[in-house]
Amino acid sequence: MTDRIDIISPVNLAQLDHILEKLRKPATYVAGATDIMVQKSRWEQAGTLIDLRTVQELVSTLEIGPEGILIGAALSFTDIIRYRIIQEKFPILVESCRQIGSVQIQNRATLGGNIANASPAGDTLPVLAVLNAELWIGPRLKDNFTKMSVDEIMTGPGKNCLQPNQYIAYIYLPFPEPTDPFWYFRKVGQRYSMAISKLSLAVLGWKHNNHIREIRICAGSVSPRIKRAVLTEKLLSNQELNSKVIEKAATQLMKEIKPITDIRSTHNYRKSTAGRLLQESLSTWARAGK
Amino acid sequence: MSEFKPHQLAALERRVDAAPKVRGQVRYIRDLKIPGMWLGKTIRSPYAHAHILGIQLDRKFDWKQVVVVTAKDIPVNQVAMLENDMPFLAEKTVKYRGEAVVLLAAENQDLLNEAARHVRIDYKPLPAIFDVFASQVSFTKIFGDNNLFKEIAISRGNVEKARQNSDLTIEIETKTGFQEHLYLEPQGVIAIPEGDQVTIQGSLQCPYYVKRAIDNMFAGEKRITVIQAPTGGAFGGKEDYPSLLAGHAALLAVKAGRPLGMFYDREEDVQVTTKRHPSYHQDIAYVNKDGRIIGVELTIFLDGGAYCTLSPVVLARSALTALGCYHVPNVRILAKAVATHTVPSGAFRGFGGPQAIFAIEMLIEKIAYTLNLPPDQVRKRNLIRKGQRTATGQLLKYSVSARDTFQDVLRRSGYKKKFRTYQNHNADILKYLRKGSVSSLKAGEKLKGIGISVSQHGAGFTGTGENKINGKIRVEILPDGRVKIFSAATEMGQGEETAIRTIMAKALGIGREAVILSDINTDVVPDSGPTVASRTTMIVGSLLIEAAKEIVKKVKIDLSTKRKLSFTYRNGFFHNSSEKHAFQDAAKLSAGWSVEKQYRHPPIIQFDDILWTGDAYPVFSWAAAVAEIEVDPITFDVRVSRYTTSHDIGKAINPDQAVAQIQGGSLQGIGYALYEKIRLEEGHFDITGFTDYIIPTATEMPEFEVSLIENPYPYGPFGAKGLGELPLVGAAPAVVSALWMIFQEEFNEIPVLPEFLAKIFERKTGKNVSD
Repeated sequence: MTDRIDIISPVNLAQLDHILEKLRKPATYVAGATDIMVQKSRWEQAGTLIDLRTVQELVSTLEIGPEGILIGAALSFTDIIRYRIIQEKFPILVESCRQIGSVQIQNRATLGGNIANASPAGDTLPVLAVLNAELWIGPRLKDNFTKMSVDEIMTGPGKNCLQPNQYIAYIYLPFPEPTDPFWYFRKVGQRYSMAISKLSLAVLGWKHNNHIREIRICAGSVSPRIKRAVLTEKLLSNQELNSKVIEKAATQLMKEIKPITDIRSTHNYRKSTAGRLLQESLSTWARAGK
Repeated sequence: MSEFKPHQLAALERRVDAAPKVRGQVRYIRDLKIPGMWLGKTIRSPYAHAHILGIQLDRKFDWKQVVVVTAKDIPVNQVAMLENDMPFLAEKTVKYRGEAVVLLAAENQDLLNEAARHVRIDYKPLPAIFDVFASQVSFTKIFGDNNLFKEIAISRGNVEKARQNSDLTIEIETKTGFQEHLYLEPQGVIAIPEGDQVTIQGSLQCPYYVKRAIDNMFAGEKRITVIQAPTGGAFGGKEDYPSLLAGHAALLAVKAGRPLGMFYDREEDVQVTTKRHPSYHQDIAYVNKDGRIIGVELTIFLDGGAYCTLSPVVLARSALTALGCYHVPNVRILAKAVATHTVPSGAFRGFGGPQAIFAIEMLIEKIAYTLNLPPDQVRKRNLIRKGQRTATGQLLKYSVSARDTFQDVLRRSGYKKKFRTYQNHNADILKYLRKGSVSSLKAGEKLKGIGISVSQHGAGFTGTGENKINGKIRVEILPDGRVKIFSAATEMGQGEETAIRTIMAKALGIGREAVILSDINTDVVPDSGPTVASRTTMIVGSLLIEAAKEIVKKVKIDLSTKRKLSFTYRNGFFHNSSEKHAFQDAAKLSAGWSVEKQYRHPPIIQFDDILWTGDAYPVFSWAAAVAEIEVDPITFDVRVSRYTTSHDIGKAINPDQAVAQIQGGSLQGIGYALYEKIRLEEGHFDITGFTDYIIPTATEMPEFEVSLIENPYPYGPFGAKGLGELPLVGAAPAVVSALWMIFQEEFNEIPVLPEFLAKIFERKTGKNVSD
């Protein structure tokens, strides 16, 4: 471990933007630092840390608009879990936040950090993808934030498309249609807490006249980038859920994902379990409708 | 035995070391601020097997600010253990990936890292062996002329006849993996040189092991003192390894002429320190249709890694535990500890026992499923009892509880009834899984299993070990009438300080606060033997009882002489018809007096370690366990929901702590069964620490139903036997027995991960999900 690390702690967005404009050396953003703290090699490289948890707007913003909410990127998971508006409108997000690490991790770690860290195993990423989350990227250009989706920001494991002076400022979540949404989130870890996920699946859907009107599906830890399973979604739309359709959808999902074998799990297990998770979610939905 | 009755032991006493640990007041070795101390770093081999062609120090670097040590600097380059095959630093050949070649010391970590970049070691890679079977037939020699650290053959009765007379032959091959201790505090040692004196302080279990190793390294030319620092967990991992690490620290310290700290971070610790021996077993049972075992042939291979360390004694315990808790008249056991080009395996809670018990219990499962008999019935039919003999012909004369613990867990867990209920419950789920129709499953439904194991652990050193060690203690009466114990037994989280003080206090009939412990410093405390092998409470404890008797005698004489009256001693008071003196007041008369006691086995205990016959252990502790598990049919996650266990430990010195030991040890055994996996890639462990070596957390803790059975050992303190290791030993087979019950399949390898379980049905449904 190197002896010296500079930590910059801007108090507000204006100060942060000002500092970034002047900064001439490489810096690492942290927003809770739960990942970097346990990664010795990254400590050794990181000469300068910029702490986003000190930026007032980023740690405290929760704005409720007519069609969605705006969340500061440095809100801790514990904060997110506690907001009633989030519990009511986004129970699937609350569920995924609750399954992260441990209570101690949830107290420090943040939604923005989870996204920027760009791990295919990031617990909230599949959920943000099915919620059609919009990321507001700073600094502002002519008073406007750059907007992008979760699919767009991540370019590979641990890689995002942000420039050195760019950071995630806010996450905008449009309210899902309120009429009878079905949601499902399940994380499969090597144990029940303090575990990086081997696999996760988020499903959000709506039916109309017993047929699927819209469904959004995203699996985590199955590809280098987080992306929705659009072919499986397409296969299911306008379908009536029965065991045949469910099995077909599972087979399609297993074709669509490209998991690898690594220290946490195997290609085969991830693939077959993703299929079973989808079957579990869809059969639960099918029964709920009856 | 003491004149004080066991029931006087308090049911619930707080640990003496708890408060400062909980409050964070304990200063561990890394917390010490020693003026002028430099840090050490190890440069290691990237190859599992290679010749070292040369070591070059870059001339452009300023070496004046750095101290470098290579094999050439070491007076005697061998770590004194059972065999002296392991060098402190490799000189000509490296035998495992991570083996130390060069040591550096500097003022700070940045400078050390910079210096390390200017050291070049040239190697010529050689073919490496990672397989115990390949090793035995290889031309490449790692140890001796056959790559065997030790071979043990035990024979009793006539196995050939047993085979002829039996109804059936049943065979199974089993396999267990590496296990990492993952003590909370990584290894760390500080060495301080002053003239000819070198003082070692460290996180360690066995101060005299370290002292002997460093004495030997300096060829007796230095005066060595070893001090145990507060130790944050060990589980056997700080039994053998600190001798090597302390050697490195001492070499650098002496060459630098200043205090030197060697502190491993977590990654270095898990990569290069010892692991539990992986094992391979080939077992054959000759049985009758009713499940009675007439004969067995058991073959054990332990992977010892590149150097011998403690492998021969780990192997001995494996071989001597191989029959488990069963009485079998005809036995052949062949056990081999084999060398490979892997990090040396070493001591780990259970010490060869967990591997052996897993193998024999899986053989029992196979017998049950082959004969279509309930697994509990096969166990019951073969359990050993008092008056019977073990594989070494040891007659079990006392304190035998294989049946009592077994009956107790059966009854308390409701095993038989649940076995049937769960089988019925699982039938439909299994049917859907076989068909691959997951959507027919009810939401949240789980497969339920129940498994059972019986286990034992020989308390104290194997065979004649205790008589070779001759552990000593000394107890002194202080000026204020308190007594002070001088022993080398170490606290590493297991509760040794509490146990030792409690035994002494109860033996004297006084409060625990009137008994104090010396610091663990080899200049001050006698060699009580290492704190290993579940021996401290039983062996050191029995010496304390002896010492207590003499203390009472001595104080009584001094008091009688002074008062010119005779006294009797009871419940902490010397009294007669006219006077009453509290122990501590009376003991002031004997201030400065001390008594030393040395251990020998009771003479009835005899063992022949050439023929492997006789009393392998003075006594055994016994346990049985029932594990109830739930398997998620979607993810195949296994959760142990309830764990019922009975442990006969002779006498619980502190019942509350005994239960805690049993819970912790059982959970560590559950980890061994279900979570803790290390893969070896060209001799390299694929783990870096807590993120990728998965151990159970509080979330994985099952509901524990622990009961203590106290079947006294006549020569133990208040009847106490060993406890520390036993809880781990039976956990994995109990959990895996539950998997046999659910899937009606052979499970012969741990850890069992969800990935393996999922494959059962991929095979059955004939669906190949791979591309």
